[in-house]
Amino acid sequence: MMNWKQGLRAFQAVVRPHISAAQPTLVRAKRTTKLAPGASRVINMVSVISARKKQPRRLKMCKEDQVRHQMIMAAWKLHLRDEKAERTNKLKAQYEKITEACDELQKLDPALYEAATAREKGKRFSPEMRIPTDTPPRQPWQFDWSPPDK
Amino acid sequence: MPPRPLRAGILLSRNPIVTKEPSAFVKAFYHYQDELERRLMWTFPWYFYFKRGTLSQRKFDSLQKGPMPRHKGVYYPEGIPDVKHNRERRSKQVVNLPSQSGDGEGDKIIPQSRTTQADEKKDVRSLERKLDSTLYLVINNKEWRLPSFEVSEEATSLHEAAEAGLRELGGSNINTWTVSSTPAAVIKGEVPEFVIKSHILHGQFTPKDFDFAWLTKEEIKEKVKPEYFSSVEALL
Repeated sequence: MMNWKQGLRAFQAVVRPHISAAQPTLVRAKRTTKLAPGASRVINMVSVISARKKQPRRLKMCKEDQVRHQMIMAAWKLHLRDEKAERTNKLKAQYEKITEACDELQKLDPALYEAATAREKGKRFSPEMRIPTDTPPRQPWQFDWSPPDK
Repeated sequence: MPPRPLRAGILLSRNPIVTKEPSAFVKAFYHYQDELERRLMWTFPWYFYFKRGTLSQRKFDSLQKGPMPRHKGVYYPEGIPDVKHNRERRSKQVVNLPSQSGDGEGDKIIPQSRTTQADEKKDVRSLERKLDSTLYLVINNKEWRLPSFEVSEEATSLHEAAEAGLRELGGSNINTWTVSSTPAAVIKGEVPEFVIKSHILHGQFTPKDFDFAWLTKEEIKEKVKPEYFSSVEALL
């Protein structure tokens, strides 16, 4: 996004190219001459970026609505907290399961333990994995898949 | 060669294809936030999208329901209008966009249903059921449990033994991605079973001589023995 100064420079460069950027002057009087080509487009762009005339009126809540709003936000915060706690507990339990399994494997079979705990360098998620979307694709699952020939 | 004194199990999961259905509370909160955002939105700069004097601008204009203008000496029961840039500043702005095709129906997007035929038929063998939750593969080999395999003396790692065993059992037309070579858990018993986590990406599991099912956590709880479920519950 352009900031307002850059917008102003771009505007000046088109409208009054003979004035260098070192002399920032604005013409406030009504324009009598025709605009330089492309100027109206730049004016359009700048007015889209600027907030003038486009802002809604400030939201003023009555006391009752303020309390309601605070209640909603507090409830949402609690919801997020609960979700996070649930997730943390789950991950913790899973981590404990992993350490338990590794200890057991070390006792039973040291060779397999070495193979299982070796660092997997350059491991990546498969690009064929899919991120959940709000609605499914036309064909939710590809059943007829066969391994590529080597 | 004799097998090792342990088994390699596999927890094969099908990740959700669609997002989880939000609860009533979450839905209500999102709706509230959406309305707040619309109320605080800047006026839509129509002149940026529709060139003045063109047909498309006229089409757009004709669809807009203009705000109530302010006149002197008129009583407004819902407050005095505050109009700027053809927008009522005290409330959200409703922007009606013209349809591309003109008849108003052509460019309507009809999304696919979140429930599938497999859901209607209650086909637990299908991978297209319960799109919004994770499904896990369980097989009925004497009793319902996760698939597990013997690890031969030549095997060099658990995850390779598990993936190879899965293909021996259910055919090779299955594309999986192993999460890690480290076992996710051990199920203790006569022969300890080390569980490897894996995701199914494409293909399907088609065993010859026993039953199998793709189930959610809740369904697995009903199907397997309670003591077995408590040993794998943390993984699901």
